[in-house]
Amino acid sequence: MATVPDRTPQAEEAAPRVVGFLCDWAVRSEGLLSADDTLVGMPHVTVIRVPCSGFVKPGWLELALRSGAAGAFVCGCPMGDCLNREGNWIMEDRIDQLRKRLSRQKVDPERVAFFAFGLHEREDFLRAVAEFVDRVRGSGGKR
Amino acid sequence: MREPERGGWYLAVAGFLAVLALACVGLMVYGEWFDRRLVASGAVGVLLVLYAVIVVLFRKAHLTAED
Amino acid sequence: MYRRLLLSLQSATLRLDTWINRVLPQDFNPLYYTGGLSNLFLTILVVSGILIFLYYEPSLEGAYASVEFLTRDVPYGVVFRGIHRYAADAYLVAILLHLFRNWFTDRYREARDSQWLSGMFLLVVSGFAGFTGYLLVWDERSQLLTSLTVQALRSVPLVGDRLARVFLGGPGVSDTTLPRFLFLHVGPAMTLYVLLWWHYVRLRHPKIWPPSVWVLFSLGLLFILASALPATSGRPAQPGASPEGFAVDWFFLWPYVLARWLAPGWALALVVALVAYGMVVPYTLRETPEQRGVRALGQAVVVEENCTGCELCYYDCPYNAIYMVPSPYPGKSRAAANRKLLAVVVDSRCVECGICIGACPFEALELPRMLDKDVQQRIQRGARAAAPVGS
Repeated sequence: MATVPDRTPQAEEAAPRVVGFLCDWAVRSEGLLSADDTLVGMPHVTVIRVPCSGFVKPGWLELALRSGAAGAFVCGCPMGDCLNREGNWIMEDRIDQLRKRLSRQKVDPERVAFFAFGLHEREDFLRAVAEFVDRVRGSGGKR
Repeated sequence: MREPERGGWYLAVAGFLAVLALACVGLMVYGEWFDRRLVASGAVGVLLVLYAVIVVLFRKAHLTAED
Repeated sequence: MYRRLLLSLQSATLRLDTWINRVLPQDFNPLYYTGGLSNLFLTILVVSGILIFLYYEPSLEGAYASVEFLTRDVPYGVVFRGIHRYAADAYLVAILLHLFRNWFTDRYREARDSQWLSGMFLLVVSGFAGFTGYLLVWDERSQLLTSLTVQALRSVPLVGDRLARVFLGGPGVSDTTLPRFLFLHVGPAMTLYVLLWWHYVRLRHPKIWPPSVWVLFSLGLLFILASALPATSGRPAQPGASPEGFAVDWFFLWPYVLARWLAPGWALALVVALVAYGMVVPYTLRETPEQRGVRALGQAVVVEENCTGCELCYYDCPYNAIYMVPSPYPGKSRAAANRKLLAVVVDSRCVECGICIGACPFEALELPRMLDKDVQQRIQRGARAAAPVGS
C-alpha cells in the first residue's frame, strides 16, 4: 500500500477506470480492498474477487471495456501453482484469444491483461496494476 | 518485465557453458577410450546439468518463450 | 492450534515459492512439479531396473556374485546400479515433497480425497519396493534387514508366523527366499502403475512430467552421483552370522533405525499408525468454509435451457466433474434448440472453482452464490462510476 504513490485529486480525475478480477488464492487480500471494492490507494481500480482466475468469462472483460473502463485484467496464482491446477493456464489462453478478437474489432488488445502473483507478492501485484493503469491511460471511454 | 535487460550477459554465460559442455564430450570420449568409465559417465551427468542451466539462461534472455 | 500451524506452514511453502520464482521463471519452479518429478524418477527407476534385472540371479549363492559382476565387469554396470540406487532416493524425496506441499496448501480436501488416498497407497507401496530393493543385494545389510523384518512380522498377533512365511517364501531363509524377494521388489513396482491410474483418473490434464530443464537436471544429477559415489555392496551375507552396524539409508529404512530403540513389532505398529492417520486426514477436518476462511459459492449448476452441448466446460473442468449426456429434451434458447448433448455436474467431484463458468459462452452454468448478472452489475458499476475525487 505504501508503495503506491498518493495521487492528487486532479490526477485522480485523469486516472482511467480499470476493472480487475482477483483470485481468492492469489495475493493476500487483507486490507487490499476498500469498502466499495476498489484497491486501497487506487480508487479508480475496481477489483472483483473470484474463486479462481478460471472463473472469469472473457465476455466480462469485454463488458468492462464496453461499459467505459479503459482496461480490464485478471490476476491468478503463479503459473503452475493454481489451486485448481489449471485455472490460470486456461485463463491466460482465454485472454490470448480475447486479444485476437479485440484486435479484429479494432480495439487495442493491450487493454486486457493477465497477471500471476502469489500470496506474498502483493507489492509486485500493486506495481503491475499501476503499470497497467499507466499503459491504458487515455483509452478509456472509447467504444 | 521489471527485470533489467541483461540478455547479452545471460547469453555470454550460456555460450561459456556450451564450451564447457563440449569439453565434457571430450571427457566422455577420453573415459571410454582409456577405460575410465566413471569419468565418462560423470561427464555425461555434468553435460546434462549444463544443458539444463543453458535452457534456463535462454529463457531468461527471452530467447525462448513460455511453453 | 492445529489449524494455525497448517496455515503458517502454507504461508511458508508459498514464501519459498516466491524466492524460487525470483531466480527461475515461474513455470520452471520445481515445487510446482513435484508430482511430475516423482513420475520422472519412477520412469528412470523402471528403465535402469530392467537393465539390472537382466543380470540379476535370484539365488542364495548367486545373488551377491551377480550384483558384483554387474558392478565390476559389465561396462557402465556400476553407473546403472548407482542411478537405480540414487533415483530411488530422489523418487522418495520427490513424493514426500509432493505429499507435504499438497497437504500444506490444502489440496487434499473434499473432491480430491481420491488423489490423497491413492497417494498414501502409492507412498506405502513405493516405500516397500524401496525396502525390498535393499534385500536383493544379499549382503550383510540385507541379512540384518531380513531378520529384523521377520522379527517384526512374527510379533503381529494371530497371523504373525504366516506373514513371516509369506515374506521369506518358506519357514526360514532358503533357496526360495530370493525369488520371493525379487517378486516383492518388482511386483509392487508394477502395482505402482495401477495405483497411478487411480491417482490420475479424476484429473482432466494431470501434470505428469516436469519441464525439460528438470528432466535434464535430474538425469544429470543422477549420473554425477552414480559416478562420484558408486553404489557398493557390504560384505556378502554369511549363513548364521549376525551383523551389527552398517550405514543405513535413512529415507527407506527409518523404521529400522527406530528399531535400535524400539522392539521391531512396535516400529511396525508405528508405521501402520502413521499410514492410517494419513488415510483419514481428509475426513477428520470437519470445518465449515467460514472457519477455513473460504467463500462457499455453491457447486456449479447447469442452466439447462441454455446448454448447447458444446462440451467446452467438459474439456476445461480440472476434476472431470462434468459429464456430457445425451440431451433428454431440447433447450430453450436458439443456440440450444438443436443440441445433442447436455452437461451434467457430478456434485461429489465439484470443488466450486467456477472454471466451467469461465468456459461457457452460452450462460449455461452458474455458481449459485455468484451469479453472472451480479458480476455484470459490479463490472458496470466499476467501469462507469465517477471517480470518487478527494475521498
